[in-house]
Amino acid sequence: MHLDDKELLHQFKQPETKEKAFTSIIKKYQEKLYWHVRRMVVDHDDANDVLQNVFIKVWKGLENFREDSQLYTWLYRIATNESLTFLDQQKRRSSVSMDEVESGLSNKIKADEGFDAQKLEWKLQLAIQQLPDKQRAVFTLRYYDEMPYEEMSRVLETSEGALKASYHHAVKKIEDFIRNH
Amino acid sequence: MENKETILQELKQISEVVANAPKGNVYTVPSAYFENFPSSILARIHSEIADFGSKTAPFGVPTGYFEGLANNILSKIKQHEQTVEEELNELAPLLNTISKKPVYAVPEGYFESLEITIPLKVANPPAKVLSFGMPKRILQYAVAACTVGILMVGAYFYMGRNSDSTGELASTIPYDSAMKMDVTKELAKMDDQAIDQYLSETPITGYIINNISAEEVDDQQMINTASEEDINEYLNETANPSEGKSGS
Repeated sequence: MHLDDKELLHQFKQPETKEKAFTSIIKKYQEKLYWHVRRMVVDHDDANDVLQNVFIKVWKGLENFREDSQLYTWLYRIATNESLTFLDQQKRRSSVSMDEVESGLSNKIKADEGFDAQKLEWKLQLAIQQLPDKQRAVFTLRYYDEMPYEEMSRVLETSEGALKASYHHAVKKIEDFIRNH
Repeated sequence: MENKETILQELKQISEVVANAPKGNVYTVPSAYFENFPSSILARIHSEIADFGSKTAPFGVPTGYFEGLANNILSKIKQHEQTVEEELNELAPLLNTISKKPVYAVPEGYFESLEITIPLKVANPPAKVLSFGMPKRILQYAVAACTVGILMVGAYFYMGRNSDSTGELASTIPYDSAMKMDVTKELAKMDDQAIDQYLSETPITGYIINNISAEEVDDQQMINTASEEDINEYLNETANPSEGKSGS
């Protein structure tokens, strides 16, 4: 049973319980954040690197975290930003076009030991990787994490209307991909 | 978290195909990854803190680097420093072959006489003349500012002599007359009704209680005129702490 966020934050601010509270925060959110990051960057090692950076940033920033926003929202915002930054860095480092990066992500999916081109769930993953980075974040947050638009607007700092439109376009693109592959 | 059913309905409205796609997780995670993750993060944080706290530079420096640094820099600077001759050799070697001896003649004894006359000139330098002539426009502004200032000061003193404490002009009694006035006589001349009206309109009880000593006040009159609130306030302010103690 996980402790309430408020209680965890209170414990984090006490030097004697700081590490214990931080470990509890990691245990509480690691899987949710991991899968959110993994769906963005695909590869496990990349996801692990990003997730480690996320929690290092959390450690550094949690002391000054203002409790007027939810911890959960704040963590998702850091995780999303770190994932987008990671993908951006990859593009710059390899100086390849966006299409090539997307196909790189698709190749990573195809390289997965469990990949089966005939299975619809794998097709869905390939379809998701065709989406632009931020649209992919919108789709996965809504489809997998079942996040309300209001919450998502705080995570992605985008208006609810824009998020609804983005999700709609993302679903249509995925549908087209599944139909044509 | 929003209702799953709502999200599914929304998805069905956009695309039946995607709504019907299996949502199961296709990716795998190394075994015990999540169990070990918190400790690996904490270990990383500890090592970062240790690195930060030790303040030791993570980079190596060759032995004796700092000892010889100053000499190395100086020798490099000297390597790049060229004498005038070296520079000229590169630019125009021909000029280096020509003698630099002056070719122009100087009157005989010129330098000797110059040694005498220069100190005299330096000892008594002519005083620098500064013009007092101000630009005409600045002078005009200065005259205008002085005139305005004089008028304002005059107006201030005039108004001050002829105004009461609230700044309003006293229209009935001149200042000098008021200073010489016998207030008792003037009050005797006044109509009783006017005095009653003034007293009823002016809140005086608080002022009396706070500023006049008990000996100066007729107790009975004060009790009759002061409100209950004023009396309580007065009693609280002048209460003798020893009375409270003796009474208890």
